[in-house]
Amino acid sequence: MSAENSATRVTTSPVETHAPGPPRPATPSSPSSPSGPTALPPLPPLHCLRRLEPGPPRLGSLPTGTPVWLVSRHPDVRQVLADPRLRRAPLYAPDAPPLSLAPNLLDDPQGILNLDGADHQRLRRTVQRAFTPRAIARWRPWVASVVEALLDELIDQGSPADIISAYTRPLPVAVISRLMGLDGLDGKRLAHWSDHALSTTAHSAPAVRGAMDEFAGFGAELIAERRAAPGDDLVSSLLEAARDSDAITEPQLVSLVIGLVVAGHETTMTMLGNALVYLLSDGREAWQRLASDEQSAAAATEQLLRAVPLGDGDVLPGLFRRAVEDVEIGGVVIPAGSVVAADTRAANHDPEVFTGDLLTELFSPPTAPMYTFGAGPHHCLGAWLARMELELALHRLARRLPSLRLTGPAESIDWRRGLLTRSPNTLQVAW
Amino acid sequence: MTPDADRPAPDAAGDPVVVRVDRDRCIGSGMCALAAPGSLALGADGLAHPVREAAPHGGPADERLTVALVDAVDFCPVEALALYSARDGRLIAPSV
Repeated sequence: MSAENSATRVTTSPVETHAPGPPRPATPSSPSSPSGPTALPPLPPLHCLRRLEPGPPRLGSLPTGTPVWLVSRHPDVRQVLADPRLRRAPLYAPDAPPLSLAPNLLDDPQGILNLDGADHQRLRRTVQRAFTPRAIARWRPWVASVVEALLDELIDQGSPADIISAYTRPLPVAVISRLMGLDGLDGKRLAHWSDHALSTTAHSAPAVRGAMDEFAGFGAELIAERRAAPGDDLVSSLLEAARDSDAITEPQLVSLVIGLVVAGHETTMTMLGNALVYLLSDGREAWQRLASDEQSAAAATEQLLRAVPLGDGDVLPGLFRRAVEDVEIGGVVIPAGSVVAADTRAANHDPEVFTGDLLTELFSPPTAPMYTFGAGPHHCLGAWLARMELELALHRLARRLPSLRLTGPAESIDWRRGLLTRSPNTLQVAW
Repeated sequence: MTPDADRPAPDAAGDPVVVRVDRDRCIGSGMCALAAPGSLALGADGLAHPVREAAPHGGPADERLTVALVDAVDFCPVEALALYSARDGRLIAPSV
């Protein structure tokens, strides 16, 4: 699960300076639109996308026309994410240039993603303890039991099957539902909110605003409910931790709670779906070793997280920051007030620090830190939970279904389109 | 006699401690530097380091146990920090 950065860690190819990229859909369609895979041009799987060649910071522009400094080299990306002179809140200040044509959940100025310094830390502390490696490790046996139960059902249901609806979606939904105590939440409502929360072109700006208002209403109700009757869940514990802080506002809490709901399942589902697209097509040779032990699955998870992006990055060319003073990055002076995008996807493939590709390195430890979960103060809150879910899901799927394969070519996959993330809508498999 | 009788007394504020930073794990979140600014800081490389360097003769730095320091260690997002008793080397935080 990735409450912070998770969704915005979607990297990008910049609009003006990028290498020939994937074809973009002529008419963006809703992820839930009835148009089938044949109605839209095919898209390449995420592991096949072209990337920006790392180089010095260069000026590009966003779809809104706003100039943006694109930062792509591994050390430069690290600096952007950790340098306190490069901040999130000024991205939403009154003088800030427009970043998005249809602002979504991540553009909420009250969201934890968009606070800096002490404001950010105050809010993050209310949830941080639940997401440390030790805290997450305690959930491992329970998550493994959910994985096994889903696999039992999948196998009972029989081959062929849609692995998205049977496995990659219900697993992270079950995990975040248990953590946050959301039993009984209607899956259709959740999917509706998630689609709008990360929408770029799938939905109109008013539709996104309407859905987010409704989602915030759900968050406010949930908070009121847990204040009245606290339970053994993350919402209750964060409210308890926030109780004595006057500085934490109600809109911040609402944004945090609904952000956790979305980040808690969307990105893990996306990553798992796209990892399976790779592993069951170009990377099929690794399937047997993935089944052999959890250590191999853990190593593969790390490399997949590094090399398979969450989305096309055509709208969000990296993780945004705004310079509050002149800052030198990689030998270039970025003027105060500039918007900077840290292209974590390019940095994750910087040939200065990473060699080899998924085919040769899948089970090798990474040679340098990867920035899929970001770095610095906004490093993904759910990084350890996401890793654990992915490791268990991949290892146990490979162990239970050694002959698993895609029933169709990867080129004809029906994708969820028009969101910050891209993953299969459905993925037919057989065994 | 209780089973706990042989255990050392719990650490109290002001006891000498040693804080260690695993710089391979550190991702420069800065949570520690904000929580315990007197004890931990981010360096020019963006990674955390103890504010008090070790004593010149190689002995432990004069670091004392505070609630803020335990918090800083407990809240590290990647568990790059560890706090030990300077008396007997026991792990004080992160709490298991």
